[in-house]
Amino acid sequence: MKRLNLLKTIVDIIWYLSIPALLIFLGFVIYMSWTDQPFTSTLYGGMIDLNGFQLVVGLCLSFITYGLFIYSLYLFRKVLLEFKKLQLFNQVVIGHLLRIGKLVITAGILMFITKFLINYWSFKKITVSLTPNDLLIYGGIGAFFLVLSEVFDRARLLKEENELTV
Amino acid sequence: MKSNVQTLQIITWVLIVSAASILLNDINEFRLNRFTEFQDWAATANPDKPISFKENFMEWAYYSLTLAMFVIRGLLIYAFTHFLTILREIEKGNYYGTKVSDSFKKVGNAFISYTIGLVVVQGISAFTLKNDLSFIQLFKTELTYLIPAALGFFILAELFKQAQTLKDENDLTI
Repeated sequence: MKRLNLLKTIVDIIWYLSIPALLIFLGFVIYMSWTDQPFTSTLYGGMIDLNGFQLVVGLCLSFITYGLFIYSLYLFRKVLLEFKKLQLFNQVVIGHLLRIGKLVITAGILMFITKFLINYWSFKKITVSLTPNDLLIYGGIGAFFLVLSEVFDRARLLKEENELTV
Repeated sequence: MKSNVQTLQIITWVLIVSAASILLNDINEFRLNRFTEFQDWAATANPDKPISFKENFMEWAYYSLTLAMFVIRGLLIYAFTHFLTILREIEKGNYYGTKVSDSFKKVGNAFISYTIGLVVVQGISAFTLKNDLSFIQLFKTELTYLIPAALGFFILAELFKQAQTLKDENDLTI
C-alpha cells in the first residue's frame, strides 16, 4: 500500500505538471500557425528550421502525441485509484489497461512519424539507426499494457468463479 | 495474447542485445584508451620510482567511477533478462506462479538500484573530478521513468501474488 501511495503521488505530480504544459503547448501551436513565423531550434542532434505548412504539421503531430500520452496518464491514474479501492481485477481496470496500451502504441507511432518528417524536412535526408528508437520503446510499453490487461482478465474470471462457488 | 507476448519478447531481446553491445563497446574503448596511456607511461617511466596512489588520485578515481558505471549499466541488462523470464512464464500459461512475482520484484529492485547507483556515482564524480551538476539533466529520463516503473513492478508483484492465492483457492474447490 505504501508503494501504491508513493506511485500515485508521483503520477499525480507528473499529471498536474503536464496539464499546464499541454495548455502552453496548445497556445504555442495556435500562435505559430496564426503568425506564420519560422521556427528555429536545436532538436534531434541538429538545427531545425521549419516554417509554413511543415511547421504546422510538425507542431500538430507533436501536440497530438503529447495529448495521447497525457490521456494515458489520466487513465493510469484511474487504474491506481481502483487499486487503492482494492478493486484489483474488475472490468474498469482491464478496460483502462487495454486503452492505455493502444494509446501508447499510437503515440509511439506518431512520435516516430513526427521525428522522421521533421528530420526529412530539416536535413533533407533519411537516416536509419540500429539503436532502440521511440517506436520500439513505446511499442514495448504499449504491448506490456495489452498483455497486462489480458492477464488481469483471466484473474477476473478466476475471481468470479471463486465468488460463485459456495 | 500470444502475439502480444511474442512481440514484447522480440522487443526485449532487441533492447538486451543493443544495451549489451553498447556496454561491451564502451568497455573495449575504455580498455584500449588505458592501454594507449599505459604505453605512453611505460615509455618514460622510471622503474625505481614506486607507484604512488596519492599522486595519481584523480586517475584512480576516474577508473573506479567508470568501472562502477559499467556495473550499474549491467543492472539494466539484468532487469531486462528477468522481464524476459516473466514473458516466458506468461507464454507458457503460468501467469500467477511465484516465479513471475519474484521476477517482477527483481526487475523493480534492479531499476531502483540502477537509478540510485547512477545518482551516487555521478554525484561523486561531480565532486572528485570537479564536474558540474549538469549530469542531473542527462539522467532526467531515467529519474522520471525508472522510479515509477520500479514502483509499478513492485505493485504488480503484489497483484500477481493475490491472483495466485485466488487460483490456489479455485484449484482446491471441486
